[in-house]
Amino acid sequence: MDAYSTRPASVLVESQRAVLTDVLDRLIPPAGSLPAAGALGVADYIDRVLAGSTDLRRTILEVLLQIDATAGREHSRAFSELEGSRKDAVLRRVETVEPEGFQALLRQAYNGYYSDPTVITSLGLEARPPQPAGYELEAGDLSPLEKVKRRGRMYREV
Amino acid sequence: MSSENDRVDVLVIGAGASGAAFAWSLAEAGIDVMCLDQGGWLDPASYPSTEDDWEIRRQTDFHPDPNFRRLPEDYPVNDSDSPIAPLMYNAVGGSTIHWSAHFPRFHPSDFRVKTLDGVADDWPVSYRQLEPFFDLNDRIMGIAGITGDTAYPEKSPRQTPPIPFGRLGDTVASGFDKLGWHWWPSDSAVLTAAYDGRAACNNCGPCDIGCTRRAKASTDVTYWPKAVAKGAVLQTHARVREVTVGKDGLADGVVYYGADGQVHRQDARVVVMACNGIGTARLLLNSRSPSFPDGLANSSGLVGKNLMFHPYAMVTGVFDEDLESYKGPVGLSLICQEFYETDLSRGFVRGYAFQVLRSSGPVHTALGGISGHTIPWGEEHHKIFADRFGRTATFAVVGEDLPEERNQVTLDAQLTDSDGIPAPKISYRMSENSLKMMEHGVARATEALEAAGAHEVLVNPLLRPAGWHLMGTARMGTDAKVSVVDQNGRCHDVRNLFIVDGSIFVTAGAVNPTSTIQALALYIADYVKSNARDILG
Repeated sequence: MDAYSTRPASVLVESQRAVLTDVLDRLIPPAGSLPAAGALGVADYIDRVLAGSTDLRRTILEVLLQIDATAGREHSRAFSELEGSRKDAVLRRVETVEPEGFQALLRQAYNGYYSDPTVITSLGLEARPPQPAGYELEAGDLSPLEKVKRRGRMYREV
Repeated sequence: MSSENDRVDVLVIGAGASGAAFAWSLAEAGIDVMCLDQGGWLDPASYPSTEDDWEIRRQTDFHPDPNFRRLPEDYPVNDSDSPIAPLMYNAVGGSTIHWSAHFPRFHPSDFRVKTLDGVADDWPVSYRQLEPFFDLNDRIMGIAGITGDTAYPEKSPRQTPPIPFGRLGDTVASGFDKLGWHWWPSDSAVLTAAYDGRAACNNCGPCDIGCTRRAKASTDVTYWPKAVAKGAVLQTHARVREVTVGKDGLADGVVYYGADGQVHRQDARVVVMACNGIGTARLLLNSRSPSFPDGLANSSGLVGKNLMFHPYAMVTGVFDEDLESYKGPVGLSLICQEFYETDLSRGFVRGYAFQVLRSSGPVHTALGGISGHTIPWGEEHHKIFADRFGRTATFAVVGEDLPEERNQVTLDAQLTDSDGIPAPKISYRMSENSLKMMEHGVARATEALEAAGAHEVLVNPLLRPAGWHLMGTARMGTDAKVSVVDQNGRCHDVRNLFIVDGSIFVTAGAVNPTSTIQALALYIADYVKSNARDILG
């Protein structure tokens, strides 16, 4: 992975975006108030990331090609036309055959999903960076240290 | 080549933990000191923790591994022959910019391993000799903690109270107490109250991406402002290519690439290396001349040899209770040193510590946290995420890997930095003793986490991105045949060349080394000051 920045979307063509969105919906499906990653628009995030990284662009576009090719080879249909369990089977096959590329895609999916304010809020958190507010933290109970002290010296004299 | 004209008395290479402490000590005594660093000043106000994409920045321009970060001031490291990847940062403050600021001292026994345990070598300095410099360094850095730790001789009062445990600390401590094991609030180079013009920590969490509040004692906010105020000159974006020697065999200055991309020269009476355990060896090996064909100060052949990391196993406990473990300084809560000192009945010599770690934000959690167990995709994803987020505590098992000459830094035949300077290659293997030690540590960590109530334990037996601590590649000693520097950090072969970073460690201990690195740098600075007439002429 090289250092990249998020830039205006410009990489994915319509067909690639459609496959990616379907893939994302299987990687992170909906649950309760949490949306699926594809429906949330994580493909837009990934598109911006790919615009800033030649290495990552090559890797992830290759993975998307592999996904569609595997669907065609094993089910004679495009990935997007498969039912859910078959989509998952295709993704697990590609994960096995192209582990590094698949992990790169999964990393970007998690990056985009868990950086999104909608998701962060749904997790019960404030959608804000750590600073400047920070957090309140309980001081903790120091009284058990008396028990540690009673056990005596732990270090070796030299 | 352009010259920077005036010769300086003391030229320090590297503005990180050790270089900053050393330069301050000399400047405070009125000695003419200049420091060159390949990086620049960073503005704490611009650190990623103020931005919504802070968890992404950790993976890109604030990645701790220079091979991933690839900033212009970084140099690559060929680490393909090592199970541990070296980590570092290049800026004013060095790796203290991205460190987690855990600040334990080495133990008295760490300096006497040959005498006590019959392995490696004793250091030519002792804990007691360094003790005043540990204390001095603590005062400048500002340490949060509490005295009375039974794992150490009594220390001077800590500057501020300990980092709050939070629920995580209380939970983990209950496990240690059930087993009757040692634990103590970590000595932390993070303020919990205002001190010396710096603000208190507000428990935001990710110390590793820089501290916007200056609560964390990176040396750009501790030593450097004081050193500059006393007259030290700090020149940034100055990448040293080689240390040069005169006809008399003494160092006479350095050649470096400036911000303008041009080659410059700086003359000096004394040269001090503070480039970390990989960078110093790299620079010495790159400083070849007819007088020193195998690299500068290398008549022993030990420059680059005896590289030591701390092997890290990560053992994560998953708890039913919400520990809010994403709150608070990620690397700072408790330390357990129950297994630090040698007990041969365990099946290995020397020992290890548990550094108790918190967790981090949602992205980090999904990607597996510090132990690297990525949360699976698919139908189970949300359930497992909810099970872990904020509910984990991780034991970093920090082991002592003893020095071995086969573990080394050499120069890569092809790889260079952006100025064309040969880059380092590292070769590293863990010993059988270390493997047994880490296996023991993982088992005991699991036992303690289960005693604390963890319902699941996730193990990474050897973390690859764990090369935070770089030591041993220009070791101290009294015998010039088997060491690079003497008991005062002075090179045996080049008497006006000093080394003050972790390179000179004889052994690695089993705790984070920065406190000991800086105490040693201050100790050596004290020697230079006390002998200024002889050393500086």
